[in-house]
Amino acid sequence: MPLRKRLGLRVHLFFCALCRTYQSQLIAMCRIAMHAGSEPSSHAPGLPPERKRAIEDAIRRP
Amino acid sequence: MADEITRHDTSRWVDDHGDALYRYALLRVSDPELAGDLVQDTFLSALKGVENFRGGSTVRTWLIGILKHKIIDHYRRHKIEVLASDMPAATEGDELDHVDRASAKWAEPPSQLVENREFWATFTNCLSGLPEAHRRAFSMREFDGLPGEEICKVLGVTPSNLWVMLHRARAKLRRCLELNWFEGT
Repeated sequence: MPLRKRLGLRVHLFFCALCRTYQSQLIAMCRIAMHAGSEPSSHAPGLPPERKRAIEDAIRRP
Repeated sequence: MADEITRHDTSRWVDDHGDALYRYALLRVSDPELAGDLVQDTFLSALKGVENFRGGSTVRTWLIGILKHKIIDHYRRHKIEVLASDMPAATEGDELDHVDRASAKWAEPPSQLVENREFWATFTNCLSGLPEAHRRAFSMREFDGLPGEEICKVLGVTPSNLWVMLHRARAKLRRCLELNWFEGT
């Protein structure tokens, strides 16, 4: 982002409480995404059994 | 070093790592069938290249590295057209209208949120609600931390397009989570 725009944004954020809340929520959301990306939830569905069998068959095939 | 991976180990790969790889892929492609195909390709490639495994990391990390490349290859091969609204001149929406001043709930540690079954369902629903191009950009940037230049190459977009796509994806996800989770709980 150009320096002028960046400085303008900083001044805007300095005065705007709503913007700060928005910014902190965006940061929190990105942290959640970063964590999810490295360690997806254990509640996420696992490999379906039929797909598991198909992969095992494909691996065993010479 | 390949001797360290015995035939016995490879026969257990699907049981030991299948679920983790599938979850990794599903989060990034939001399509169960495609995620299964990518996992299958990963195991087959790993089996072919088992001699290349140097043992510097765990087998899981090595397999995830292969899967990551498979997902990026898929994005490259099946390009999505950039939406006209993703051009840099596009005006911003009314995102601030839906900002809740009481953001304490957002401060909950990500590890706790991600392990909450209902939150995870909300998060993945919100993610699948994003336009495909936005989801891919968000996934590569936020899930995998890839540099902007690399993402631009994979998606075939300019840095300005990518900036707009990421901004829109983050804003939409934030809003969706705010409305469907943080306000509702």
